[in-house]
Amino acid sequence: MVTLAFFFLATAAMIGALAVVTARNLFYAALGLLVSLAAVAGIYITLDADFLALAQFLIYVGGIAVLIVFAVMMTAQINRASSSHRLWPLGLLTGAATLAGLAYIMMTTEWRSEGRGETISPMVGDASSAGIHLPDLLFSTYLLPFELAGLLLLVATIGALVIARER
Amino acid sequence: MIADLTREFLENYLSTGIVDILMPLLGLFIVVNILLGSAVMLTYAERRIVARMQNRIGPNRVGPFGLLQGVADLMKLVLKEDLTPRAADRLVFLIAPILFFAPAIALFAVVPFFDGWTVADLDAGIVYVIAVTSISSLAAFAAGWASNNKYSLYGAVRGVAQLVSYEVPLILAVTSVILLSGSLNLQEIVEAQGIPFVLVQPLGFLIMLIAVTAELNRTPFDINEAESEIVAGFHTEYTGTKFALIYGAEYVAALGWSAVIVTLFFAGWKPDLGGIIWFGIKTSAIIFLFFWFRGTWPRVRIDQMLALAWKLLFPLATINILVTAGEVLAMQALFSLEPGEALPVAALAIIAAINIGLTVAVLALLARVPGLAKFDQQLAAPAGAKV
Repeated sequence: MVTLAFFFLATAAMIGALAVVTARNLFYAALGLLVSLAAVAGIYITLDADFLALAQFLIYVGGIAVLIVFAVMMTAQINRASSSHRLWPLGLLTGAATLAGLAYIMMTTEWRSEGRGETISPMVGDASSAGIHLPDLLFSTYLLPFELAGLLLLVATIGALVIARER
Repeated sequence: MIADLTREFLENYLSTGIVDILMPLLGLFIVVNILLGSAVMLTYAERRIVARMQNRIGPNRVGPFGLLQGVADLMKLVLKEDLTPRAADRLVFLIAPILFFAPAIALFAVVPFFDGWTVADLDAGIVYVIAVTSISSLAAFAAGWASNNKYSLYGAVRGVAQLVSYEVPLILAVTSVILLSGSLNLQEIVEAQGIPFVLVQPLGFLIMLIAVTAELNRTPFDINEAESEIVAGFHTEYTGTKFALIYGAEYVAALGWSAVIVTLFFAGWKPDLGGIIWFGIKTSAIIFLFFWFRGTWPRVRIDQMLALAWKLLFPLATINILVTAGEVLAMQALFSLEPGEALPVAALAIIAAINIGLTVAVLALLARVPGLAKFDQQLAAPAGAKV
């Protein structure tokens, strides 16, 4: 059942990803991205990582996809794809490098299968899931990255205000 | 129990493997059909209630008291010709109503109808609710964009701006409830409510109610389908079954969000009156509130609506979270609780007393703040006009 679900979701993610890069229509590309990201969230569910799946759905499908839709709204000629394809060797290089990196990680990671079927829930105050507490980790081990992300958002907000301000 | 009987009955005829796959599908079939039936009845209820408020009679011809009006309307819509504008984007035009309907139905997967009666008892139930409903902005935009009609696109653009803005105070209001209950599981949030959170968190409830009204595109926030300005907004070009799907999805979503509000603020199925009855009564009361809004308030303008979300609800909700967090920390020290442990009734009562006082003070102050009087004038005049 899980294997079947995996192949179904993986196929959906691949088709979505292909649509993103091949669709000439910007809105279709956005929809393809949506499908791909949602399918990845589904794969997280088959791996018993419910919270991660929901976070993926909330942030990527609900947030990033809506952001891209906003970008589409600002685009005047939506049906015409970008005419400059001169950067394709660089794109190919980046893609190949990413693929190599991912493949290396996949080959060298030691995959563990114990604990399958137990849902790990890094929830607020969930005493049953001893060990992993998202908030505790966020405010101790990963405090610096968390604060940096906050700073980045502040800079982005101020930048947006400066650009959008009425003169 | 009924599920077990059905399973036994089916296993007489089919192999166990097929029954395993069939049972969830059967459950889905039943739930979806109950929801669709409710949506049909809700259209009738809304028309009758709003008619009463406007001193009219409303539909009363089809069936006893006009009860079958919704069924007749649905039949009419399904039998109508299914038109797709020639300039429309056919694929997206077809997908959009489905994208609109799916999250409305999916919302019910985590709603705790009764002790243990949840389709999927997720640990992060409330995150699921917010995640799933965040698609609706995309669906509304897809519908408007695919129609290739200027009114549809205006409605869609307004809809996206509205949904994105009101999601912020909505999530912040929900966060204050999570702080109090110490859990993201809806069943546990219900159990944590020794006192209904509407008393402990009155400001949070008001913010949530306003944000949900906007999230549902209901009056006074239905500017993305304002018929006096942009025909019917994002669903101008939709006819027949597709229109029925969009129209029905709005009622199913209203039902779902009412159930979520009851779960978060009105102690869900507690106190136990047996089964789903108490939960149903509370949910109906919240839906009635939405109908009441429609019967009494005129539609706001787009700039007024965005100003309300960002200049009033967002700061209020943020302050509400800070106050609540402080209170929870104080109560944990006072009653010597572990972090994340549910607050006892006494602690909730103290917080309720403080918060009700604060909410009354805030509401009284808001009317008198000099800056807000100016804000009121700005609301009364168009955004660009000199006041």
